[in-house]
Amino acid sequence: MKEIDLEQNLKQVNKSSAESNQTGQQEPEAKAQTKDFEAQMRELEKIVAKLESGELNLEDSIKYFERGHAISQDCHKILQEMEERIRLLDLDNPEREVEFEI
Amino acid sequence: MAQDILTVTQLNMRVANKIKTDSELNGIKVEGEISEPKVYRSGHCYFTLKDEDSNISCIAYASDYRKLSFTPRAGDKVVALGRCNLYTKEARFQLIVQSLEPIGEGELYRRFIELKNRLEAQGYFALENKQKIPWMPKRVAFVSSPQGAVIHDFVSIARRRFPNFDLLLVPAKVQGEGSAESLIRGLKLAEAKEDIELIVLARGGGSLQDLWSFNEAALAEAIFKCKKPVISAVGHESDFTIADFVADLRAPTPSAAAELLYPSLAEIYQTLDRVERRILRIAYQSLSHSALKLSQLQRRLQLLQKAGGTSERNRYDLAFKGLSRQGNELKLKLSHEARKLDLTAYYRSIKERLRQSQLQIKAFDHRLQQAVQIGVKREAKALEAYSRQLQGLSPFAVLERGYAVALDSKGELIRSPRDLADGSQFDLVLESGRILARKEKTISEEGRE
Repeated sequence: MKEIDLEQNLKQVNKSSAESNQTGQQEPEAKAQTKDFEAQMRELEKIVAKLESGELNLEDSIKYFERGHAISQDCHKILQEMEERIRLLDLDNPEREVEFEI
Repeated sequence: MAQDILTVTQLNMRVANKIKTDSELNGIKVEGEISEPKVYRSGHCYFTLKDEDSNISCIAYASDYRKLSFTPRAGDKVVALGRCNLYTKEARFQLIVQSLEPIGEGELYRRFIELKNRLEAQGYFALENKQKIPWMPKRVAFVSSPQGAVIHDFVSIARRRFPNFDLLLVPAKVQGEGSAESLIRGLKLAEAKEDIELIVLARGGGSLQDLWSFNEAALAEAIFKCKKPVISAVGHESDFTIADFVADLRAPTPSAAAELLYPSLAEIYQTLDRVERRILRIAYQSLSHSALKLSQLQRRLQLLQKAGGTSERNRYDLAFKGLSRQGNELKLKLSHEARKLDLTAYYRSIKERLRQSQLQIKAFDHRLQQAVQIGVKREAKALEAYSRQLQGLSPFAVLERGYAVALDSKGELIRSPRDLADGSQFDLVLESGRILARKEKTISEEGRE
């Protein structure tokens, strides 16, 4: 399992949001996040632990609040966008899938 | 001797006879796999018996077929007891089957163990060759029969555990003739689909015979080589097939597979909720801390307000009132929104207010420094003025103007000539020294001669 580096992730987020502010493009890190739900949940737990440790000054606390909030929102979004889908593969024409009632 | 010229019928019958009387072709047992069994209205059953290379037509007459202990189905591996026969009309060689027995479980089991050992030695079951099962697979392929309880059980458990799942059903034959090939094909089709993250091979309970296609070497090979993780869910809890050993994960039953492969959605939501609450609590604490610092600053400046001029005092007053009002508003808003758990606006306002508070704390700190300096200067000036006044009021101030002060023996000030008796001693204090003097007499008194 890849280790999660909070500082690294935070720097990347700040960097890419600074870049996108300059170029006006969509933040690329947004797409990458939706890929691995499990990694996001783990990062969230780490952020909370960091905040609760009391080691952070006010400035850094704000950064971690925002990141935690963003991830949490993203997770909710991923979950909400899922819906039940059951399809049956057509063996004669494997590109084709049909709806299947159960 | 001239050879007899036979008719076709005679030829056929000659051969048929030879077969009928040959002890090696009668009362024999033949092992093979049943193919295309057909029972006609007459009650006779026609089928083919085959092995890897050859096959033979068979017939079980109604009287014998009725007595069978089981219903032969395509794919069944059996031992047939019967006799060879030539159907003379068409010179068709066939086996007349008197009884059928499924291949002994013992025999099948022996083959199972043999294959298991062979594949294990080749590393097909090794743990390091197993792929990791994704924690929350976005799309799963389910290779099984589209009818029957298996898919229904799986779906009902999946709905309970992780509703909103995405499932692709890949139909396959799960027993009988051609089922191993059907399963392999299903596996490969599922593997080829890009969005499929995980494949489940499933079938319900049955005998060793029924489950046999999951013990085929070809299927084991296909599972081993599959680029996507495979879960096998075959039979009952106590059934183990080769597929179970080769797969990346074995589920004891198809229902158990749903429990194993899907995380609990309810638990995920609970975790998210719990984490959000913790973040909220910390944010609230940070803000309270800032508010406390503000109060402390307020107190410090209040002390200085006494030294300050009216206009400055008013300015500081207003500014601090404004800040404490903001702090209180924010605390109220916090507790209100904490109850609603409305994080979006909440975080935005925290971020903004915390930033503002920080700036204001900095600014006030600066003004505090200045005010202290101003206050101190003012105090110093006031002090100076007071001391000057004091000095002017002091009786000894007159000395600097060239006057002398008379003090009696007790050191008290002599204000009038009457205070001193003629001839008594007194001190005369000048700007630069003291004289011991004696009074001669009173020359004049205020208002009297």
